[in-house]
Amino acid sequence: MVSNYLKLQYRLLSRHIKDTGLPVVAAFLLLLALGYAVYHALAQYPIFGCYAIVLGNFQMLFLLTEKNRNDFLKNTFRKIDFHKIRLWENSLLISPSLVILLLHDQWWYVCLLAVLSIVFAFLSFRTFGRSIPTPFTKQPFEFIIGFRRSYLLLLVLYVLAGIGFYVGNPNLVLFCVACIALTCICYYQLPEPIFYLWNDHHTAKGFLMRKFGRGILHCLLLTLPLLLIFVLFFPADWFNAGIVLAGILLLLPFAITLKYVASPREINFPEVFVLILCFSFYPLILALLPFYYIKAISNLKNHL
Amino acid sequence: MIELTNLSKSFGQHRVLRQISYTFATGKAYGIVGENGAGKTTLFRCIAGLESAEGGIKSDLRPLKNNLGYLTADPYFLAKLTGEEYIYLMTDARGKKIRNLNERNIFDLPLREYASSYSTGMKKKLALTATLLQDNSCYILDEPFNGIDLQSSVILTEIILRLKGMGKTILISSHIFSTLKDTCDDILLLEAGGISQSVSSDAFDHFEEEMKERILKKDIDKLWQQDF
Repeated sequence: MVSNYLKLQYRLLSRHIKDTGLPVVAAFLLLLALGYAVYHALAQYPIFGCYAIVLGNFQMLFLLTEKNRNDFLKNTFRKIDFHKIRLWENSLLISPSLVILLLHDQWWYVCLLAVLSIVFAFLSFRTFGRSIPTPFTKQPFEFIIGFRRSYLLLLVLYVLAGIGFYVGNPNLVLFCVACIALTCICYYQLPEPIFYLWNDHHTAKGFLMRKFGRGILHCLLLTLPLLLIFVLFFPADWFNAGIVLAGILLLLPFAITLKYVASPREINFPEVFVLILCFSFYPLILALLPFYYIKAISNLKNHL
Repeated sequence: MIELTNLSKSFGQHRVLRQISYTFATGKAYGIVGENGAGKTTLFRCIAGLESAEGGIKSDLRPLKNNLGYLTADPYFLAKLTGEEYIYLMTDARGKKIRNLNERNIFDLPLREYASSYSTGMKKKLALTATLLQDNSCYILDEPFNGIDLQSSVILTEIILRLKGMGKTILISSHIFSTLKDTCDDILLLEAGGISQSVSSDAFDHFEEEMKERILKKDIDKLWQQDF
C-alpha cells in the first residue's frame, strides 16, 4: 500500500520533470550537482549553511502538513498506513540534507532535522476557513499567498534576527534578512493564471513596472525595518547592509521578469539556474535583465 | 457594439466555430444556447481575446478586452486568497478602487474566507461580484445561473435587467431557458460551430416549443431497452 503510494508520487514527480523538457535522469544529475555545491558551501559557511539547510527543510516539511492533503490521505488509507506514508515522505524529503550534514559531522543538526521530520508527520495545519491575516491584504497576490505559506519560516527568521541583535552578531542578522528576501523571491514561483493576466488593463510594460514597484515595496516592508535597526546596532557594517539591500533591489525585479518569461507555466530549471547564477554574482543581473525583460514583455503582449 | 465577421476557430483538425458573422448591439442582452460542445465557451473566449481566431472582431470599445467583464463557466481561484482579496485583485487590475466592499457584498459571501474553499455557487457569485464591480461596458456571462441558489438567481436576473437599462451589452449562455427568456432581447442557437437560428423576444415561446420538440425526438426509451 505504502510502496504503491510512493511509486505513484515518483511517477507524478517524473511527469513534472518531463513537463519542463528535461529528461528525468538529467534532473537527478542536476540535483546531485546541487547537493555537491551545497556540500562545498557548507564547508565554507558551516554555521549559516546549517541554519539555511534546517530552515529550508523546515519550510518543505511545513508545506506537507497542509490539512486538505492530510485529510485526503487519512480518508484514503488506514490510520497506520497514513502515518507510515507521512513518515516516509518526510524522511525522503530530508534525506539529501541529512546526508550532507552527516558528511560534515553536524550531528546536532542531523538530530534536529530527524526530530522535525517525525513531529511534522503527526501535524496538520488548517488552511481553510478563516484566513491568516497578512500585511498585504490588497495586492500583490504573490505576497498574500506567499506570506500565508511561509509565515512560520518568517517568524523563525525574525526570532533568529532578534537573537543576532541580542548577542551582537551582525552576520546572523544579515543572513536572516537575506533569507527573508529569498523567501519573497520564491513567492514569484507561483504562476499567474492567464485569465488574471487578461483581466489587467495595463500595457505589458506598465504591468511589469507595477509588479516591480509593488514587489520591491512589499519585500522592503519585511526587510527594511531589520536593515534599519541593523545600521543602528552595527553602524560599522553599513556597507554589508547596503549590499543586501542592493541584492533585494536587483534580484526581486529579475525574479519577476523570469516569472513572466516562463508564464503561463511556472518557473522551471532554466530560470532557476539563471537566478542561482545571478544570486552568486549580482552584477550579472545588469547584463541579463535587458534580454529577459524584452522576452517577458513580448510574452506578456500575448495576453495583455 | 461587437461585430463578428466570418469568425472561425479550430483546435487542430477539429473546427469549433465556422464562419460566424453577427453584430451584438449596444444596450441589448443576447442569450446563446446550444448543446454541450457546440462552441459557446470558445465563442466567448474568442470575443474576449483569450483565444486567437480567424476572421474579424470589431468593437466601438477600444480595446474591447479592457471594457469587457467575463464571468467564466468555471471560475478559478488561487489557494490561500480570500474572497475580499480576489475582488480587490480583479478590480485593481482594471484600475477601479472599491470602497465599502461589505455593503456591496449583495450575495452575503464570507469574504474573509479563502475563495478556494467556497462552494460552486459561491465561487460563481464571487466571480460575478468582482466582474460587476469592475463596471465594464460589456459583459460575457458563461453559465451564470449554474449552481447558484434560487434567491441569487432572482437577484442575478434583476442585475442583468438593470445592466441592460444602463446601456451595457450582455452575452449570456445558459441551459436554463426561462432565465434567458426573462433577460434577453435575442437568443442565438449555436449548432456545429455556427449560428443556426436567431430569435427575437416575441418568438421565444415558439422557439422553446420547437426546441423541446426537437430534443424529444431523440428516443429516450432506448435508454431502458432490454439488453437481450
